Amino acid sequence: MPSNAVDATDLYTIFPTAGTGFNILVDGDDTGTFNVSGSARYYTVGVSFVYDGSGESEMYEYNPPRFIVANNSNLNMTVNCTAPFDPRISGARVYIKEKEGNTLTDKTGIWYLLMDIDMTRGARADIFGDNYSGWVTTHYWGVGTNNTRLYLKVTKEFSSEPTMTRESVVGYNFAHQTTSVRYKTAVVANRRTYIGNVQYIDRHSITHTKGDAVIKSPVNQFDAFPTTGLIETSVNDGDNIVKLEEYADRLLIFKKNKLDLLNISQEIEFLEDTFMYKGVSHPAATCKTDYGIAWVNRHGCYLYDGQKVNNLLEKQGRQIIKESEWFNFLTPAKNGSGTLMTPMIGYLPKKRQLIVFDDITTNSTADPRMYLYDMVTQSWTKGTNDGSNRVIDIAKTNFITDWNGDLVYAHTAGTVVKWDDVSDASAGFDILTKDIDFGHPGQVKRIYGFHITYKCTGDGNISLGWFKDGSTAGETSGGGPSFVSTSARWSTISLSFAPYNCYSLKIHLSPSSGDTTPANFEINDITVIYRLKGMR
Amino acid sequence: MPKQLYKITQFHGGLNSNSDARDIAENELSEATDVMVDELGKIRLMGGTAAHVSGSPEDDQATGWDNGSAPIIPGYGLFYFSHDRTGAEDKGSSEAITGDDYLAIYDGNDGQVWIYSRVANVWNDDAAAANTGVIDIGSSNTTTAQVNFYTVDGAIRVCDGNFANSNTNQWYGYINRKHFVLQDLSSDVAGNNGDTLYTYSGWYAKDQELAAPTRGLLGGLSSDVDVIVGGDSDSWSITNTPRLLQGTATGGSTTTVIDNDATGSNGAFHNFLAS
Repeated sequence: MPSNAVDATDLYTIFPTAGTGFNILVDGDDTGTFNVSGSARYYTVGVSFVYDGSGESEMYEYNPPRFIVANNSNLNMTVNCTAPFDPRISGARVYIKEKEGNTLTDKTGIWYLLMDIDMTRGARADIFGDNYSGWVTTHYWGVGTNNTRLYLKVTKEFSSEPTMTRESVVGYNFAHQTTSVRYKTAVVANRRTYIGNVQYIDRHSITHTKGDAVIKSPVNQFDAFPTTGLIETSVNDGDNIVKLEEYADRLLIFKKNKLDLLNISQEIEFLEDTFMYKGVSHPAATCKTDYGIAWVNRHGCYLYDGQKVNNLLEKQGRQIIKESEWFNFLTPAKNGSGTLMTPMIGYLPKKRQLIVFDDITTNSTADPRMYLYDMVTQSWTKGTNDGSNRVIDIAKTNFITDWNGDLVYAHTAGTVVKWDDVSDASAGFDILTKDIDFGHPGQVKRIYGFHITYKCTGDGNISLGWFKDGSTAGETSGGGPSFVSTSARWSTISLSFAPYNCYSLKIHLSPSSGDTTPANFEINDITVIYRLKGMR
Repeated sequence: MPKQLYKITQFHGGLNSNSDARDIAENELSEATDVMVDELGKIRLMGGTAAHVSGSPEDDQATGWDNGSAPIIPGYGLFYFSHDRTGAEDKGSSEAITGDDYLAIYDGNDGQVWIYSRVANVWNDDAAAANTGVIDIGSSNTTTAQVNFYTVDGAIRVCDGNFANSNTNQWYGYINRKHFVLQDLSSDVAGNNGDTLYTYSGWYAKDQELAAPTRGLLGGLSSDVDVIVGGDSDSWSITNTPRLLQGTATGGSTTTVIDNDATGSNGAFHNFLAS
């Protein structure tokens, strides 16, 4: 174009604003075979953008104008545009829909793909072909600088009607397209995105909020969520989806109170099972492991291994963590009263351990603040908060497992920490053996002393005591055997005392009052010297 | 009866708080706090937390990431992803394909996402906008955002799951794409000489939603004035509404585009100023 007002003989071409779309120029009366129906045919046009080579936007419809293709004519189409475009846009698709003669009424209502535009190479008629017509700049000046060749066109001639419908190209019907999609959780499986607890606007501009719904994207279109992908395993049940996870061709739909297990191995997914009381209160309460999906709630800690849901508070058919203790763990003072806190869980692949924190923030007022489950030994231990070595009682992000197999979270002003398996000094160290009856529960034993094999560097600061006959009170102090430094070598300490009689005893080891047990303190074995007393 | 020794040498059964302490297994404990029983035959002290990566997201903000209020949304906001390209931490361009691992963290103060690079070992800000995270979801009640992430095919998506807010889903990925490779026309070498007009190679933050075209006209050439019918009623007159997107102007001197309808030469525009 000239840079001044036009003269009467100047040629003009009208282009759309840069990056916003395409002006389409049609010539429908050149002799050819596009229309051999015996009369003129009328079409309307729609264009959509293609993003990232796969996802397709809603269509911009050039309605109500229609173009005409005369009988025994070909269709010539030129697409004009103004650069630049969003770099995420990889192409565009031009669809046409036939009208009932020169009316506004659709003949079939079906959109057919006429032209597949590639932002790099140009346009082609066959989406599977490679016969591109290239881009041409139409108005240029200052040759050699990209910015001066903003106006572009590509032209294609069509000698036959298109046959591929938009539905077959995109994978869903245009009428089911959604916009402004929001979701509370998302997961990718089988080359689809599944989003859960969703909000979207439909084609009629109605906003839908569906707490029970999952929407799956079409294959390889990870940002499109048509309502044809809507999955509602259960609705109006007073519950909402909190988190989605996937494992072994199953989608785990965690609601607050239950878990729906959806088999997604086929095109049509089906509900495989529903597990009541297996829901979660927060998205941070689930994690993925190499054994399956683990999660935590007020009733326990669970692992779905692709076959079944395992209750990790049980081992070989027997419960090992008391349900009331677990419930108390999730209350602030660990006494079963107060508002239930929000637990979170993470997986440490290096050690194959699950770590459960009692709360995502600072509601907890007492220890234990955490449980640790070793998946190899299938055993639990507890942990306390330590402001320097084990920062739990603080507002923190969710757990993630990083590139190095470290379990990571962040707190405070973005301080990122990882779980470090190397032992730390502890003021909360506390072990209590089983109540030992020496295999003769009904027979009195006389206890003479203990041998304990241990090692540490520096004073162990350990207090040794025991409880007799199943008592949990009235601990007898060991009287001060000093767990002195062994220079990190195994050493056996012996404790002798005035013999006493009992049916059973529990041995208790913990730091001396106000002391801290050094990080490298370890116990190898505990031996009790005893004698069975005769039965009378 | 002679004296006997009762040895406890295994502890890997861990805590058993359900059964009576007398009935638990030999290798179980009735109390086990701050200890580990993962190594057979011994009890050791439990580990804890340790510094993970150098620096923190606030390193690149003049006012600090914390900015006086808690940037952490409890239970949300941390994400890990890997990518073939380096440079995600600062939205770099022309990045190497040598691979990198990243942590992304959401900042509740300003609704931005900051990224740590394992290779660069640094949290960084947008190379083109100092003190700014590489992703910005918006400014709607950012301290209450419930952000969730997912990644697929080299791009992460960030969504605020708190529907009461009006933040926008974001897409963040590496784009390596050319736009408009021109034909090489020997008769028109000046403009159409095979050049590539736009080459994109860099990290971009974009809306996740696939926005549709918003502009476009359907029209004809001056050589085929009757190819288009328009209007919002049936049987619209062709001759009265030619829509010509290309043709010959009739001249003029103002900046207003006028369809020279009065002369009967519809589509023969005049009175517009070219760019």
